[in-house]
Amino acid sequence: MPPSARLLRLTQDPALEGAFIPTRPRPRLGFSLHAPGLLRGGLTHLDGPARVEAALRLLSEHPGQRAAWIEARLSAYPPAFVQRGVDLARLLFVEAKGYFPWAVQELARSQVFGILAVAAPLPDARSLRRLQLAAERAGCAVLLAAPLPGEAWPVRERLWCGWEGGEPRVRDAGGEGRTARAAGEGS
Amino acid sequence: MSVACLRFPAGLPKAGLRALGEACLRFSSQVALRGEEAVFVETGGSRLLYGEARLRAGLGALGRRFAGAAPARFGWGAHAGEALALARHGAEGTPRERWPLEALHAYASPFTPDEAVARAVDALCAGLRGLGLTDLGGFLALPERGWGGRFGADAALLRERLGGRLLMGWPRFEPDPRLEECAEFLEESEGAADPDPAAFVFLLQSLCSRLSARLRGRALRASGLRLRIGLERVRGVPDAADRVLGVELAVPVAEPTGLRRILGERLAADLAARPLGRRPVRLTVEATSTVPGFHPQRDAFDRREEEVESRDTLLARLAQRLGDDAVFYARIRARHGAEWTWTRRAPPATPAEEADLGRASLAARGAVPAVPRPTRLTRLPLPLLRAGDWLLYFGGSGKGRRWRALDWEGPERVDGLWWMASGAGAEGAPPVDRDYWRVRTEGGMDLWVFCRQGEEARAGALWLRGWWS
Repeated sequence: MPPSARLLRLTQDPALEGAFIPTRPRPRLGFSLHAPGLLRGGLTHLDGPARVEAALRLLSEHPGQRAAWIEARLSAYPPAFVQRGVDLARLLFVEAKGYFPWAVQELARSQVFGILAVAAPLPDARSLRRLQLAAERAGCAVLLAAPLPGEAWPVRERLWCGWEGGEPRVRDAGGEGRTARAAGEGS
Repeated sequence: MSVACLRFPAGLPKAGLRALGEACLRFSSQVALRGEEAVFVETGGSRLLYGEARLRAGLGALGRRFAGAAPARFGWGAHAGEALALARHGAEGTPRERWPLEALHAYASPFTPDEAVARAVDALCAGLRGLGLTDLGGFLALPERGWGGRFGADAALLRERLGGRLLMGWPRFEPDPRLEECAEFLEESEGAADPDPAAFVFLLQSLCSRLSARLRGRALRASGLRLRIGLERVRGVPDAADRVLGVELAVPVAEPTGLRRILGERLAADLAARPLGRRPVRLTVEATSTVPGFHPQRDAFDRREEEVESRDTLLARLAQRLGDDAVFYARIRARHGAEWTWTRRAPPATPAEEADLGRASLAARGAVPAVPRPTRLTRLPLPLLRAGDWLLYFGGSGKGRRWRALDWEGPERVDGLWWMASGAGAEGAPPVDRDYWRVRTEGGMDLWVFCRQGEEARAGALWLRGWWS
């Protein structure tokens, strides 16, 4: 019997009622385009043609949060950010060039930023894992708005961002089970 | 008045005690030293309230930074003499009445060791012992009248001082103008031309910790640092010059971890590029330039100061490695042409600059055009070829791409300044006479494309300038 099934049987044992402390739902950031919100302290991958629009919508909905936008070579266009309601006084831009994984890691680890938008691809799963640990510790919502490496198991949520009637739309890209779980975790 | 005293029974080098006194300025602006023995901090007039436990912990931590494992004793009293006497004789909660008569030395001259005063107090103690008195309790129990006639004027003054009256004025404490900390490498590494990196880390940690404490005491942050490695002198071999590394910080830093990381990364990069070749004997860290920091007396109920320090430390480290212009906030400018509508702005170093950043952000909302702009911009305009419905880009090295255009929205005409001569731009900006189009493509991506007005437009030349993503 696999350990998970054994644990499940234990939790259902009436003799052990009250012995298990239910896991607390992970805190989430409210997001108008995705009702369950986005994960704090974890990695969320935004995919699709409107992924940056979705990230900007999130930034504009949380003007009190300090945020950072990091790319290897900058292609972001700040006037467009202002048009979408982002407060530029709260958004730090970092152009990391050859030190991209290191800079992403430092930004997440600093506990200074509530939202970190990573707009360039990370090289491998190891750097994603490091980023995941740093994000968990700092309680930082990390948005990966760039293609993922081949193995990207540390990414907890994947969202598809597309256009509908000229407006960005977000849906869960991880299947029905993932959507239900995300909704159950919502605060 | 309320005075804390940190006393080192085994003594401390004068420079170390001065540095400790400088660091203690974080608690109060009134600090005094006693030779190589003790440091006093007056907290009664401080902006913040201190409890004994908190002050004991704070002073103890500072004492360990500057004195290492040297034992220290803490005393807290209504005035300097009482605090020093408590640090000397008040171990294990002994009440003042049980202190020996020698405690009168602390009351007689708390700030300066004075031999004449010490002799007078010794004579007084001998006289009191002749009367059968052994502690301060007996001394205080004597009737107050006639003290001057029986024991002399000094004894009467001491009696008043024990009662908290006729106190001494505090001597002025002036910290050293140079913010420099130095440490020697251990002799164990003798003979090793390539130093152990752990030795550097260990020394840097303690040096940065002490430098940071001194900076905080003076309400300063370092904006420039200098690291100097003194190298071993070998008989018969020409002396090697000290290795000196300068670090200019984009954002001033006072936090010890930040200082250590910045210097450690700079040092590691330098040693990888240029090995020392000689055994290092001494490491010196100096703050070459400083800027005013935040208030030295930390507010226990407000964590904003710590957050600002964390942010500044991070920004300084990022700027140190990535370059000053790679870490920035964006400032919007009311200009024509996509390229000149924003500039990079260095992170704010002072609260005033931070407030200015907020004002500029508010003003930016009125400076952006009403027409939606793409979220991403190419670094340079990329030439496109139009073939029917298709837009082709030949990037070279296999970077070519193609998009099938579904709809063209526009044009948005952006002209140069009409009062300037043709071909000239504003503030160094090239002239802008372009028609911009938003092109919806089959894959869902929208492109921002322009053509220049005039001959080039008639020839059908197109340029890719950005995209919505």
